[in-house]
Amino acid sequence: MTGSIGIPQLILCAIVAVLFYRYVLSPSQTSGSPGLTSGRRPRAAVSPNDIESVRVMFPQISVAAIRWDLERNGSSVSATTEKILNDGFLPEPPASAVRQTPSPLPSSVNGQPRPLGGTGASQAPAPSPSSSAATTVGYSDLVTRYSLHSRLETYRPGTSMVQLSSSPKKNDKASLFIRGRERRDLMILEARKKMEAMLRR
Amino acid sequence: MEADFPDPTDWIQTPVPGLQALETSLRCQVCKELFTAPKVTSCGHTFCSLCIRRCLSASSKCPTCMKPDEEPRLRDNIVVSELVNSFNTIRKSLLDTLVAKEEARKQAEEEAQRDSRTRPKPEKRSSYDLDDDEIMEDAEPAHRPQVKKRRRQETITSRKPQEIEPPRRSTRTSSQRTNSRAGSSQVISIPDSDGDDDDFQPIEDLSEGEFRPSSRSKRKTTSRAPTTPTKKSDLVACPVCDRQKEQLAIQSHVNRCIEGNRSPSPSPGLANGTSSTGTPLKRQTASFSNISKSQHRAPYTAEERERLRLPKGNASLAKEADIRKKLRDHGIRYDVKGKETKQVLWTRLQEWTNLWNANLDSDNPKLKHVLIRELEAYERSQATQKHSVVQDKDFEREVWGSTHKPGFDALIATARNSRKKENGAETEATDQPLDSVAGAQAELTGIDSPEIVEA
Amino acid sequence: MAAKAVRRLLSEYRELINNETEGIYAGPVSEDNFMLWECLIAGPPDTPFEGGMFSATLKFPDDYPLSPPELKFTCEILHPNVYPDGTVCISILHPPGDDPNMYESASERWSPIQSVEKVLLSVMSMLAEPNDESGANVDASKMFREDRAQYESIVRRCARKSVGL
Repeated sequence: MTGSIGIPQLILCAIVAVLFYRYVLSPSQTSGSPGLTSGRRPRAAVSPNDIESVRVMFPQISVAAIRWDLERNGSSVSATTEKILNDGFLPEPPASAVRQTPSPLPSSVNGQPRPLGGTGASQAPAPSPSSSAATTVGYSDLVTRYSLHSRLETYRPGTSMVQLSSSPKKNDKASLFIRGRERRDLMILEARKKMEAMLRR
Repeated sequence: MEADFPDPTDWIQTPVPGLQALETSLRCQVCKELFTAPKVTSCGHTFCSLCIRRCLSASSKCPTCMKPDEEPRLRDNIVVSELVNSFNTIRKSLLDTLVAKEEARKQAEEEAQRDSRTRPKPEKRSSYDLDDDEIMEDAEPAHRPQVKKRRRQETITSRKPQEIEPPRRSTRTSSQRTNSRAGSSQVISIPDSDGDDDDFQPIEDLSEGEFRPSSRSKRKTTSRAPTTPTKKSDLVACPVCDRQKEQLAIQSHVNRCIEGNRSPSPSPGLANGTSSTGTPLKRQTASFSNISKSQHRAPYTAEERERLRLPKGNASLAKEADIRKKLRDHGIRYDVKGKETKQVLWTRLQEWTNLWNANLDSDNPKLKHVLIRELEAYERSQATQKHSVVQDKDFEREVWGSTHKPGFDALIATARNSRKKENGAETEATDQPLDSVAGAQAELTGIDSPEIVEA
Repeated sequence: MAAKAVRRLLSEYRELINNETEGIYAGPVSEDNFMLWECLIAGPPDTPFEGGMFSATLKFPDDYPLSPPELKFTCEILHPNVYPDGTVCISILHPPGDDPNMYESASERWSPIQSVEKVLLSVMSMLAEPNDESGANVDASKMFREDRAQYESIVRRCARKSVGL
């Protein structure tokens, strides 16, 4: 890390610390074997707040899946988050588990990853590759990092880009920063939309 | 200051975005500013004098093409310097004009759109056939300066055959003039008659008494330089003082240079150059003290520059005492108690040499005390960097230590074990336990033990 | 702070924002510190990285542009030339003094005329064409050579993850 620490780095450090702490406490959780954890902490009541905090980060994951996962790991938001980050998805609960409450745009997205990279996602994180891929934990995706979830639904490719370039170009530092940030967000949103389209194919 | 930071991208919003490329090529690729005292390398690339000197002292290569180059082979790029001057003069007014024009056009377009919505009409109307007063006011100044420019060009070309000198001077005076007026927000107009220039000459005479004749001589010598290419190829850089010498004379020059280095009292600053001109420093300081308290002095003539130029020297040949002496002679602060290493002193002297030599090339040279202040500011900025590097290392070390603690512990454990074994084995064989301890320590630090033992 | 470096960085920032380059974003993390930038690099098309948006930080030394900046990925990425901690090993980020025999082409080494834009573009082409000769990540370069299918599937997963999918 660097000597000058910005806010992202701080957040990052905090996440790493929390995850590491969790990891030390219950190493079996990350491997996703439900038997041990559920044995130790049988089905705790999952608070809606926990579900909401995961859903804010990963709106593409269905509430049911989040609830099921939280139930199994004892309402550990960070364990669930880590699992999603690692695998890219959460397994859907068995039909008997709970009533399903699907989220707005998810079902297609949620089902898709398996045909494309399903093998990679479930088998790839074998010990050596996952350790050689850059640190597997602690990095949040860009949409989460810059909290763009709210804009994700309203964003239409191309539209805001045009507005941006036609707006008068002032060159003082402040407006430069505003335009820079806007460009960053739009790039992320556009990449996200493209990836969604790619996965749908 | 930040808001008024000119940049090539200013031109994108104008009707002539191609000007961006023009301005980009008038900027130094190293500092991204308009060239100051442009110098051309032997491979034909142009940089600011100070930028290229710093680059070359960091690594003796052209930053663009990586061809090896040396400072003494740098040449003035006179045309670029004039281009930058004249561009700088017209930049603000040109930009204002073009932006105003673009805004007028946009407004007209909007107007036209509004019109076409209410009643069907031809879609586009140029800004000129609008009867809207406001827009006409905006569009008006767009025309005037251009006309003036054209007129001015004509006067220059008409004067050209008579003599070469005045047009250049008029460029400079006009730039000075616009600078002095830059404070007022009105569109800068360019002087279009000789009378204007004459008004400013007396001022120049007052402040820069000996400047006029010297500038003429500089002009002549520099223009004559390209016509003697045969000499240039025979020139060889002296390895000691970096001065260009004729091939035949180089041997004796090097001898004198080395002797000069060793002599008890080399003439300060120019110690190595004594063979060529023999100018004592006293003259330098005298010329400094002559000048008024202002921050700048008149540009140096070609001879002055050649004479005052500081040699680059050679880090391995230079002795610490010599470096100290040079720094003292130039009036640069250094630690008298000798706490600073030779490296620190040498870097300081190098930076001073760069600043000094670049200042000689400047059209608007700064006085020595200003330069020394700049040197100190530069050192401070580098010092913070070194400080932060140290901080970084400490920070990294902690993190590294904590993350790899298990590994270290394991290593130490194995090292202890092997040391026990060694000790057990060697108690009877040797009576030098120190060696084995050193060996074990060397193992820990990853250094070959034989070296340690030998040392 | 080094005023010269800041001035030059401001210049570069303005150019990056005003002349948008496809697939690249870079800008200071905060308005008070111009020496630390965040940047985004789009995964080059027709590679497993396609569709991903990879974030990185750029840390500039005080004597920038004489010395090159330091580039470090801040996202999960598997690549033979990226160290496991995210630091990028690429010739344009090395000053010309280092290993003179490796790369002859001038455009591939750091020099004061290089810029953030050029660095990011070469990182982009590095993503497309890994140089498994100089492996910064030994496991990754081994996998790249021997088990291309697994390498690509992991890379695709990284790309998906980078945009939160």
